[in-house]
Amino acid sequence: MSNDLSLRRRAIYTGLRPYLDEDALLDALMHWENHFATAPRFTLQKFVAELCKDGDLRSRRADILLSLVQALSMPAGSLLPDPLQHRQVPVNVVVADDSQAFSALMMSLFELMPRDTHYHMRLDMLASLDPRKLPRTLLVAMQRWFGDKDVLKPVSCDPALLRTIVNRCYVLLCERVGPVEADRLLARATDLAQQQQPTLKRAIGQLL
Amino acid sequence: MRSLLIALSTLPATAMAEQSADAVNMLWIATAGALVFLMQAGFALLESGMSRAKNSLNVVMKNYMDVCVGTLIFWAVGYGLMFGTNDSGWFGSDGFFINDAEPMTWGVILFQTMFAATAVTIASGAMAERTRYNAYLIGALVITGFIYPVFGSWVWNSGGWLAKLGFIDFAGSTVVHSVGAWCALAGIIVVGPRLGRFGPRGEPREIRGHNLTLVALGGFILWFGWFGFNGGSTLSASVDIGLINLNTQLAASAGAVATMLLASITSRPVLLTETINGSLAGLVGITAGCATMSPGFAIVTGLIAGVVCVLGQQLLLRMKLDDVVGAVSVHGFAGAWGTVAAGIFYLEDPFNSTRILVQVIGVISAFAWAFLGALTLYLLIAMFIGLRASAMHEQRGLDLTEHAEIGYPEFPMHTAYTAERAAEMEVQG
Repeated sequence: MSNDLSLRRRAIYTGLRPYLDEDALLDALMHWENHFATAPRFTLQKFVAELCKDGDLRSRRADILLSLVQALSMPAGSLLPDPLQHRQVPVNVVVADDSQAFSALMMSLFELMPRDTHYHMRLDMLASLDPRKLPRTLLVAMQRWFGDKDVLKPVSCDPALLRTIVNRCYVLLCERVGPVEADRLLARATDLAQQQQPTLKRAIGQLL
Repeated sequence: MRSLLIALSTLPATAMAEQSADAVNMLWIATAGALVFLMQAGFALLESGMSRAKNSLNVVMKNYMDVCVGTLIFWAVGYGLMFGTNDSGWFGSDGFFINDAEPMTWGVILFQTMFAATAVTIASGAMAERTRYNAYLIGALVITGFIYPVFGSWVWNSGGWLAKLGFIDFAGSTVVHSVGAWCALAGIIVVGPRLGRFGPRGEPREIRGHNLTLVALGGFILWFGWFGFNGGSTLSASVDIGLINLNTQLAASAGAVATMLLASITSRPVLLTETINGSLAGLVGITAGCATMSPGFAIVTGLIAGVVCVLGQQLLLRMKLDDVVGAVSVHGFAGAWGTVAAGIFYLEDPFNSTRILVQVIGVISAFAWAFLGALTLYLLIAMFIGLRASAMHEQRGLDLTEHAEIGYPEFPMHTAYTAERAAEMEVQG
């Protein structure tokens, strides 16, 4: 599933590459991944319509659609590399404890949620991510995680911002399951994350 | 000549007897004042017990400090507004920053200060777990220094317009309890419910208090203090205290029994919190008419107050209003009922429609003044200072964020916020 998604993402990227600059292309890709990646193939027209609803692209709508259909039929070897994998943090970059703690805590929290809550919370969190307030690397990492259940890759980021995201998640959890259950889940997630990552104990505590 | 000698010889004895009576009266007022002060401990225990552990200290601190700021402002301004010369009928105009008075006045000021503190502390429980500490205290200051004493001057000042109409509120079902509760109602409207208190379809979610034993102990202490609250309102050591405190006891018991019966009739579990609130509603209900009602009617007043309290709480939940301890229904709705009941069951002339009308006017004017005054106050606080604690503070709990302490540092509790975390916050400041 994950490989298939990566392949289709590469096809969309390849199909759109001649028409968009790098930033617009990544935005379009995230939009596709969040709203169309798991939808039937015929929704591609809707995706293109949304992409071309204004600006210069409107007149090139048919070309873009054709380009995407062709790209989706191309063999894997002819597609451009996955741009999101390409943008991942290189292994030799040191990611701060805060960011690793954030990943550990958030993943523990979602792991402990009941299946139904888990599903709704992913959607709630996705909807609450504000591209204007989040650094692109963090936004992409979180959208990928919430979008396709991949792991949450640690991304270097301001600890205050990470704390705000944890709090946002807590607020949504309160709305979804009530404050008593939200407190219980947060406490259990903290325990779990600290057990799994004993070296991050303090950093996890600082996120709360 | 003989009669002159007798008169001369009895003069010191009369003076001594008067002095002795004053001393006994003062002793009773001071004792009753201390009993009413103890009610603060009752409120603190009850409200803390009904809150979650992460906010328990914050609730106690609000109870502790609203007495302190309230005491100072009531001495400086409140007493004069309430009991100063009231030519207009609307407020007193002297007696501010009082430093010179008759000896009996000091006792009355002390006793009335405790009443003011009782009125203001009612809001703390209703608004618990999501109200900023400083903002709450500013609200408490204005309520004790302005909203409460102005209404008090209408009723308990001989020049007050309601007093002149013949409004009966012996110990303050309306003056103290309803005024406090209407301020609390305005507060919970402005501050909003706790995070997640109501589900997506508006259904209330239960948020249990962390220690029901504290709630019960708080209920007992409040009940005990009420003997000073009602009995002390005679302002003298008189034989009337017997009936007053008997009525107090009967109404409290009836209020609790009413909630128990209502729960049984409607096939609901008999909750401890509801039962205690029932007894408190009985106490609030009888406060207006405890001196002017026969024991039988005191029981009726208490029974109905208990029912009013339960139904009132359900009404608030339907309106999506989050009153953590049920203060609005206990002190507001039961207080309004008790005030009307004082007119209905008036000992010398029961069921007099004119008297009942005056009581209703008093109840409505209390609501209009206190609710609108407090609504304006809390809206201004929300606008310029901020009334609601941030979502981050609600997540952490106000004990940690407002005071850098937690209530139970050595108890194993399932929380992400430990004593070590509190210590870190203390160091960071």
